[in-house]
Amino acid sequence: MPSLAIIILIAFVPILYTFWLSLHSLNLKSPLATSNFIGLSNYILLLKDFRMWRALWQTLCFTVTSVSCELVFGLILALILNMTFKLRGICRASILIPWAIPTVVSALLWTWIFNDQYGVFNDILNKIGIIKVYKSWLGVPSLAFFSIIIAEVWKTTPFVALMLLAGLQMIPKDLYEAARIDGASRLRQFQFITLPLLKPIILVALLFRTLDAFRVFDLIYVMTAGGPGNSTEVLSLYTYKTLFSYLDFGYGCALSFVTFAVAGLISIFYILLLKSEI
Amino acid sequence: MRPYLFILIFLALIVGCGPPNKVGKEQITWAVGKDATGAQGELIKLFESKYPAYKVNMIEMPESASTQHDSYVTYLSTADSSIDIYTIDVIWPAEFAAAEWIIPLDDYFGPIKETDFLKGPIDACIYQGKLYAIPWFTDAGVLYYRKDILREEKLTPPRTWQELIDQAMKLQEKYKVHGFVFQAQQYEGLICNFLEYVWGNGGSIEYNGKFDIANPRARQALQFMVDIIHKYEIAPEGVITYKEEESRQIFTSGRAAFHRNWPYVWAIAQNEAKGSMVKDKVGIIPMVHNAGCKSSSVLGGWNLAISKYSKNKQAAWKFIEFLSSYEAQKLYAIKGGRLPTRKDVYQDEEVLRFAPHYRDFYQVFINARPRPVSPYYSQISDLLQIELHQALTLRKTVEEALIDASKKIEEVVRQQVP
Repeated sequence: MPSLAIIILIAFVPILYTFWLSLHSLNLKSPLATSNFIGLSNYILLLKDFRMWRALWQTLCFTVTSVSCELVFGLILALILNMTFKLRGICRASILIPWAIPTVVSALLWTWIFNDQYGVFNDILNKIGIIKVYKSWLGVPSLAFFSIIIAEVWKTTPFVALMLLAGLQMIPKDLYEAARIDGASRLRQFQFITLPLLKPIILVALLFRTLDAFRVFDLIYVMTAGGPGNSTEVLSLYTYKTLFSYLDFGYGCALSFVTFAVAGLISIFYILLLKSEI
Repeated sequence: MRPYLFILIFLALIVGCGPPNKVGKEQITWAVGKDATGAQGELIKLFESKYPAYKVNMIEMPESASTQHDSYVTYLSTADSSIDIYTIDVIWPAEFAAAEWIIPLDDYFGPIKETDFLKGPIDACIYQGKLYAIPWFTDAGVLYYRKDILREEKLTPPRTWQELIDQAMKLQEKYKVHGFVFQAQQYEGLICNFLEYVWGNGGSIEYNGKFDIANPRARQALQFMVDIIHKYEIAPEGVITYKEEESRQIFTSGRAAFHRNWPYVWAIAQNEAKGSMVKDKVGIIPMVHNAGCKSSSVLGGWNLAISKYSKNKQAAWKFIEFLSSYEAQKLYAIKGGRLPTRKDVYQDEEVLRFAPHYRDFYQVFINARPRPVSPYYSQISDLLQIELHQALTLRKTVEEALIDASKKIEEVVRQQVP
């Protein structure tokens, strides 16, 4: 019971309060008009808000692209680290470094890597001969999106890899032995043993990563602040600006409630998938 | 039992960690942006030695203005009384005053004369006829150029847009440098740069107190910005990712011929220890303008305001009075390299010895124009930044971007009228 009370206190109360605020017109800059109840007006405004739809679309693009890349690379990494080879311990520990660096720091690192004047990324591509002139990676809408995804994938792939590695180690070795005796190829072993048995873990990893990626903030705040031309503005960034820069708490709360609702839908979707698995 | 014990210990920690109270001294708490020069500490020391009855606690805020804004909002929206004096950007007084977070200072202002200060900074502190903050130091956009290269080419520093383009193209080719670097990241600095071209084109974005963004002169100004990046290519494409420091580094490492920035670059450019490759090779001139128009700089700077929730307003005022005094402004000009807001400090021999260009630049500083004063400024600025950036990245034409901006801004203004 006490745990339930704590959960209610720290999770449900703020959520309900946010929803309650979102039904008001509350802008800190006009204290005279404080807290008028306006029903669902903020949500009706939201539906007509092109900027919100664009931010939502960009958030979804970001989430889908980065999470699928992370899954593919994470799986490859996990499979490699599950094999026996020399210095495996060091390798396992060292892949965690990107994950251990605070996001703000890694975001700054990548900002420098992608710098148009002295960035390593430009230098490498130039030396290989892919580009002739240094590019402004964070200054062109499509490239900026791509650059941010690279930074995100670099940082969070280790997390996926680690989870999958744990999953791989739970698969009994005898299954592979039996399969080998039956003459199954490596590929078929992967297809019929590894993948099915790993599926629940994959789903859990996806759940975590999708929710995290959907709420991405710090990485983009540091790298582009939503630019160029708002092409990388995600939902949480728009919410933040509305709350802290526009001081429009009513509308800002409506935005965060939408974020919450979409995140909720995502988790319900995954949980249902997981249930059908077990 | 144990949870209670835990809570008790926690409470004890919170209480115990508070600032130590020096008995008998009046405490003043001052929130101010981080300053690497250390001059702020000297100011406090001087104040405390002059007025031993007071003790000033400085709360250092992050350097970035927008981060400061957001943390102040957190303090003030929760009616926090722990901070007495806020150091606020030149564009915030209207917003903070409209939210009733800071108090009018007209009653306190008595002993100081408004006319002792530069007019622009004072105007920026006035909201609905009342003075809400005292200008502490000021800023104005200026154009830096490479004296050595221009001398070699026998060029006189540019005054008009066309001269800047011609010279930059020529130097870029010959000296393998970037022609011109400035700030065009999607942030407040972009507005500053944009306004200097609009004003330098004889235009404005407000007429009679109403916003008018899509007027022909503003269009020409934005077109000029687009052209120097994409048509004449005198600015690197990456300029749309630069804030002050990114562009400054290019200039002080000797890789640009012209550079628009605030006056702080001067001190860094003269300092080889800070990595400057252009010591004694830099000149400063007023911002360029379109032929037939007048040069104009955007007004920057920081002001001191008293929190409505302060329990110590009288003491807070004492400290503000000190910070805006001749003595303190002189100290901060020399030790901190900041432009004074008092007119007479510009005549001071010692200050002029440290920064000889103050004499010539007095006119620029005195003519610097404030950005629009509105409690909705930060929102309006944000919307404009987005549209300007769309034009600078060629996703919209100049016309489209400015018309879209003016539509969105009109909507904001309409909502604000009850």
